[in-house]
Amino acid sequence: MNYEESKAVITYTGEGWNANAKSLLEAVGADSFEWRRPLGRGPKHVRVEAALFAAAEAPSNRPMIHTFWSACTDVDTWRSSEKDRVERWIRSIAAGVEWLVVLAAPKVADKARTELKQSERCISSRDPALLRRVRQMLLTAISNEEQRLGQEVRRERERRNEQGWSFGEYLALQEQLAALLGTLKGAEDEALVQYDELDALFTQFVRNASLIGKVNFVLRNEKQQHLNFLSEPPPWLNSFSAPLKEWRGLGIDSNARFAIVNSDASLLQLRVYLFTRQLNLLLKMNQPQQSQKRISSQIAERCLPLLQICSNELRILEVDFPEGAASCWAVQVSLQVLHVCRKYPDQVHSLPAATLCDYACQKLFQLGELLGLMPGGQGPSSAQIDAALWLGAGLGPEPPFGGEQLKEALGSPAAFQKLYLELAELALGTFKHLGRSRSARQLGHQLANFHQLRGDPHLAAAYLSDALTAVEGWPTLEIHILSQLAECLTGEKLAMARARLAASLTLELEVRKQHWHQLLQILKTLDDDGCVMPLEEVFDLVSVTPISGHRQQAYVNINSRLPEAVLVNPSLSVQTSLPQVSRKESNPRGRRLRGNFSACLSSEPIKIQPGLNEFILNAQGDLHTGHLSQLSLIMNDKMDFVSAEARLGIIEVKKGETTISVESGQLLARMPQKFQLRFTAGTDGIEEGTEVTIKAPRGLSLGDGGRQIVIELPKTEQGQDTVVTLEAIATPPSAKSTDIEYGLTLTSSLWDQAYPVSVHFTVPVAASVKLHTAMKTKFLQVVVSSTCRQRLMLSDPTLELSLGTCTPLPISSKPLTLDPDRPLSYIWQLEIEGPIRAKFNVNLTKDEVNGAYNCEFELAECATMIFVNSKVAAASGAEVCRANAMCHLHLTVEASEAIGYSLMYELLADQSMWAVCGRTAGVLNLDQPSHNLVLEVMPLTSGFLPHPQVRLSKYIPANAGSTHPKLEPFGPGQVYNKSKSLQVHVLPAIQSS
Amino acid sequence: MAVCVAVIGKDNAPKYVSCLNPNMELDFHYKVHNALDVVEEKMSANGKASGDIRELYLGLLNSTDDHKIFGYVTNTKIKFVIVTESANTSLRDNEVRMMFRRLHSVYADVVCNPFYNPSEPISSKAFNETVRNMMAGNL
Repeated sequence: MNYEESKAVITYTGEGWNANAKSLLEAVGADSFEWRRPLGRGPKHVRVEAALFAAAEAPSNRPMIHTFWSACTDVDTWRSSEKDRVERWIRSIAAGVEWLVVLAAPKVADKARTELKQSERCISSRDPALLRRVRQMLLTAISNEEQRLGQEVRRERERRNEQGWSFGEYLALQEQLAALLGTLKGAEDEALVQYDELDALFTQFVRNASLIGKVNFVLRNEKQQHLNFLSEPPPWLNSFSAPLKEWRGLGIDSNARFAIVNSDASLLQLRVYLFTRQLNLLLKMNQPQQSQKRISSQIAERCLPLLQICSNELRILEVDFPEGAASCWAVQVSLQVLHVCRKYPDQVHSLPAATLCDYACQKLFQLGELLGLMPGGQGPSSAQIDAALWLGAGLGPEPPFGGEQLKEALGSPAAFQKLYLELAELALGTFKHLGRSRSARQLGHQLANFHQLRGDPHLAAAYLSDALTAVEGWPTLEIHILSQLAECLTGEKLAMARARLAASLTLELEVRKQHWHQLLQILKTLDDDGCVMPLEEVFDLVSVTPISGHRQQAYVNINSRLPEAVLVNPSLSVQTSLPQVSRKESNPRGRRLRGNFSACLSSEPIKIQPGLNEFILNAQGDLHTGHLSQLSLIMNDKMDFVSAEARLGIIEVKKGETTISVESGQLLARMPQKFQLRFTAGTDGIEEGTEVTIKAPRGLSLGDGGRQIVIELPKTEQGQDTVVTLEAIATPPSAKSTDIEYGLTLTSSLWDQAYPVSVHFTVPVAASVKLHTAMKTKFLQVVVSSTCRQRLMLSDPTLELSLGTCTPLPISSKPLTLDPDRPLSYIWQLEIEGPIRAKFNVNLTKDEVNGAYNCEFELAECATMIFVNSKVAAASGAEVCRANAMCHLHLTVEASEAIGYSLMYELLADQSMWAVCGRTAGVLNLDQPSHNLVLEVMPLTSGFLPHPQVRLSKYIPANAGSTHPKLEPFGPGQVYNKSKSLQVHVLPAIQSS
Repeated sequence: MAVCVAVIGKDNAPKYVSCLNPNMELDFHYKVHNALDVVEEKMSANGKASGDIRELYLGLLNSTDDHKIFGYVTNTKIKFVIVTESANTSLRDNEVRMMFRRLHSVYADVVCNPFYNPSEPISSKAFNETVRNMMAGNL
């Protein structure tokens, strides 16, 4: 439907119609006019253009006003004949249609107004209000028509789910409305709304169709027969599922409209038709006086969703089409829209245009791959050429909006590549300009692929490097791009890329190993300058611990992410002065520079294993004070991994004397022992043959047994060590403490004063004695236990007495093993009298080193003087002891010889077992060799009860010097208790019933 | 429902990316990464326009033939990105919002865990479970 065909119509009749009148009416469209509309819609300023027709030739079905032009100029003629004619004419006009009588003379007009009683509809042709009146009437006519059509459209839309409804017919109807609105200059947006509604309605239909399909599929699958299937999509939609035969771009095609109205169009035809209409309206709206920025930006903005919706709808409706046809169509439409956009400078570089351009690039890329148009290949095969011809033919003849490049591009790889690059670079530039860096770089990434195919790895590498910066922090993407980048690089840069890949933990170990071996290959080809690479890309510097002093060191902890072990030359630079600012400026972006390594800590080549590694770097030659700055690991003499310049710690030079440390294990006393003195040379080093005198304190003998020795030291560089081994025997004076510290004093020219060093010795064993008695015979037990927690061999125990003799029991000469937790005992039978001193000797062997242990004991008077015997028996008349029954304790005390003092006895019974009923203590006068006593005790419980104990002491009565009697205990072994540990069997008490 | 869910940190590095189809992971990484351009644009536009009350939901960021990419940004500049299939025409905007709100709430649970270091990628089982459910369509 054409706008021209739906213009409002003004019919004219009467003799007054002439050229003047015609030009007068043609000015109707010259000026805009307020259009007030019902239903709360806001007023609009519109211009109305109308077509002029003679009354007889006027077309029907269009908004229309009728005019009657009278040529009558005098009132008499009016009255006699003209009035009747006019009245007849008015009667011939259908009701509801606007009309106007134009009279040649004002006075006739006045007359007509009063006589016809139509003051508004009679006007003089010279009246300036004439045009306004005509416009008003036209608008009224259009408004009426619009309302009528609007109602019809709404009614039809309500019926859309009824059977027999057809989208094509509905479209024709709504288009009438759109066309009508389109005739009003300034109301194009209203017309656009009609097309938008059509667009949305169709989209909804397709969407519903897809849902219906899905739901019915599920219901069918689950055999839910009792549920109603949704009604099938309307039959008119089926026509859109027909296979595509052509895929023309934008442009109005009268055949297409005919096909659409008759439900015979393809999906693309409908979409293209609607979009072209919308595009035309947008372009119409895009007049300078309109707010064009908003409107024109819609052109590109509307295009991309259209392309995506179509791509989806082709899928939903399961439309068949030759491979590539959809892409071809999308590229064609994009090119056309971009071509239109080019007319508006602000548009070409707008975001929607760039996005569209990007989209077209993707599609073009797919087409290129499909048709063998990409660079680097062998050109299209004959099948591909056929396909390209077929696709080109589907685009139709001569696209109206430009876009002939596509046909050309399909025909030749060169044209294709030119088109692709043009589009990609346009989109890339716009993205960059608008700050869409990621989109720009992603497109750059694709361009890189293209350039790589074209055999231009340098350009590809540039694009890829740029893309790599965009994906920082995205390991998956970094690795992906880096792997591609590695394909485009050579030499130094390739080595660095391979190293990064080998160190990227997101890759599989096998892949990393491949990269690693490739890296090793590349290194062989590099020239001697090698390459410098940031350390952090491959290693994590965990920690650097500087050790200052006369011996500068640094402990370095790094984590290697490489898949295999690598031999590197490590060095750690020491920055002795402030860094020079100029160096930073000359540092090109992203390149790591090796700083000044003239002062550094280093070591022999070391092997770095995958994972955590710790190594020590030493100062070589001169010492320096400064900041530890850069760590460098040089691999294969070619690749230098250098860490960023940083302050890793301060290292200083300290003037120092030679220091000594003692190195030894546990040293045992009483045995010859070896220990080391480590001389660490100070800043001045140690001269060859420097003498050191070592003095030992009392109790420690050095070397051959003296307490002083002199040693000579070899030449030692600063920070280096010399170790001297000494042998010493410690003979501690007493065995009181097990750990003894001896202070050595060293004097030499190395120090101004004596240098003290302390050495610790541990006494290996400890001994204790126990005296045992059997009647008059005495035994001595010596218990030897280890105090050094080491296993020792003991042999040749001897006991020397100051008086009397002793016999070892049993007599054995075999050495015994002393374990730390198992003491050993030796027993001697003694034949002694009176207090004596005993000296115990035993030989110790530890790791074939022999020593001796001895200790002395004092033994007091210990000869047996008194024998005690006690026995509990039932009281007379009873045979057995019973609980709670009185018993007798028979106590016998015998003296081995006459003693000159009295004895005190005390009965010590456990009160929970025994009740002593009579005397508990008494004094015995031992003037006779034996005493018998009977004491009364009562067992309180039944069972085997221990005997009540009897304690004997010397009783010194109160006489000269003291007012109270005195008790003196006997020494150990002097009283022998024959009934020690005896028990009494006590039966339970008899129950008295 | 969703075919890919991503959480992106303040520094625009991913903290979590999960895809329904593991073979398409790289593709989704690129899509999500690319959408950050739009997130940044929308964030700066939002920042200028509004006062205190910020709309966290950013709406549709990008769309392709096959996918639609939606965004959401928390007040601490953590970005959530959900990718859905364009073919899934029944998905309403409100449902996408719901998914984001749900995601935000589980994310808050993750960062409330005292053993979680905010600079690390998310490895929470509960979070993973919720995302799996979202992708399976049982929101």
